[in-house]
Amino acid sequence: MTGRVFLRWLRARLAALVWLALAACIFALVLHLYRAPVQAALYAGLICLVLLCLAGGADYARYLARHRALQRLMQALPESLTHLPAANGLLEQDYQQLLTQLAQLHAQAVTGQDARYQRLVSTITRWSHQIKTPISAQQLLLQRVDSAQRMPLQDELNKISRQVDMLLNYFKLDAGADDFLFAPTALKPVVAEAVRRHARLFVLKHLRLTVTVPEDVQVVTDGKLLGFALDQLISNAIKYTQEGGITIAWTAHSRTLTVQDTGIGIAAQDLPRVTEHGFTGTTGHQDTNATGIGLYLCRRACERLDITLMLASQPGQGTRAQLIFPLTPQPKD
Amino acid sequence: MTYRIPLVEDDPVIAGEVQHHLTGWGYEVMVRDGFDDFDAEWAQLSPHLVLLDLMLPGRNGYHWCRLIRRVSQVPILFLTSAADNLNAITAMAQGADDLIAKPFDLGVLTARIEALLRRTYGYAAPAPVIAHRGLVYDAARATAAHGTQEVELTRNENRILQTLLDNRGSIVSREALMTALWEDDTYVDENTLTVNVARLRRKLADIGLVDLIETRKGQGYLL
Repeated sequence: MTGRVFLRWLRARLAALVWLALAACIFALVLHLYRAPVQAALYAGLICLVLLCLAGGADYARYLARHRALQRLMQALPESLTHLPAANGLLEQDYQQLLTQLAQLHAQAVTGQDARYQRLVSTITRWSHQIKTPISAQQLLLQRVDSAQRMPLQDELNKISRQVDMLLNYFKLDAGADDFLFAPTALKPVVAEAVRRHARLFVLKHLRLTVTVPEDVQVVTDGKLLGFALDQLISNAIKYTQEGGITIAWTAHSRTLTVQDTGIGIAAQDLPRVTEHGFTGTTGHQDTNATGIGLYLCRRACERLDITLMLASQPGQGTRAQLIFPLTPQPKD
Repeated sequence: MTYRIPLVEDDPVIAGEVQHHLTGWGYEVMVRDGFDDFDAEWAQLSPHLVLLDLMLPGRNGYHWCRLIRRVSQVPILFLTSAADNLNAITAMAQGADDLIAKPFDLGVLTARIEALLRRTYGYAAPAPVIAHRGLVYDAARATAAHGTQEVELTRNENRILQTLLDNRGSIVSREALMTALWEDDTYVDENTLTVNVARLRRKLADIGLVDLIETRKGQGYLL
């Protein structure tokens, strides 16, 4: 490391060294032609060489110290740009000015982007709330329609409503919103409510459902966000299960909520990637409606709730999602 | 006596549909989007329960909630499309009793209103009762009566009858009935539904209401 720095320093001083060597040669030649005593020339040369080595050593030490100081500054960008070492000469001063101006431009750009992002998030939040008024109105109007005609219309409306919720939660999680409320929450009602939101789909697909969550189970969590995470798991379980059913069960000793289905499962090579943003699977799931967002949001929500999400699957047998709740919950900021 | 429920809501469609539905269940619903002279109008309304939208033109729902709490302890139920934690906490802090997220189901709204009224005024107070083709249905007590005869209904039978009455005069598909039961946390299958409907029919026949529930083959049931 230091060796390489030394070589770089040497190369930086190469021009001066070449000039010195050339000067020494000229002196040697001229003194030789004047038949000056070799002793005297060597003596003068030796003094010069010693002084040169001392000056060079000092110069190298300064060079190394400066190099290390700048390296340290790199670790602490961008704040460190405000206390650069004193500029050594005009050119360094120019470079430092370039850097400072660049940093200012960058800061402005970042601030601008931040402001734009915050505006975007607040617009989308407001929009999500606004759009719910016509959705609610439509929902209420539908309840006057004959149930045979109403159901397919209701299904489409539910899809719209769920997509709005996904968008809202996407930005809530992405922007690191802090209106999540961690409190001791009864688990059973959260599960029941998530199931209720999918009641229609269970009935339509003739799927069985077994819920074994004791009434007295309490978890410290944000009930709404947990419900949203469960929505994604239940919705996926229904979507990819044609026959059989879904089991939602609580295991007390490991503090685990399991959502298990008897669906087509997830291919082994896809399993590690299904919670990635925008991942829609390589094989099997021939679903053009898959956005690859549901499980991603589920994972993000779990991370926020300090829940460990584990997915396991046997293709053709089903998928098992496990939510492992923390013993002493530590909400993340 | 009829329960008087003012509905403070600015969207005419939502207000109209909620009013229509609750009126059908025997409540008196007065729609407005705010109060000009709160004290006078409040005294004139003398409500038993208030339904408040959160986002209103002019003053928001919190404002009216605060004003109501100064003069009255009636149950207040918020309806809001922004049912996040912050709003829920604020609503409760202002004295709200419950909060329903939009979009909501009218059945759910009715159930919450019933629960609040029961909690506030007890079972002694008259519950809204629906009379339809000789059937007198009491939702709060889960009973069906005909003349002097009365039967108690199980939870599933009650939910089925309630759903049929909600859609009285039009066909209700088996899927819709099953969905209603699932939304009531009863995860029934086709067979269970058939059994439940048969039992409900027998009970109604026992009190002299034979063939009140019609079967439309391949379509569903009609009451």
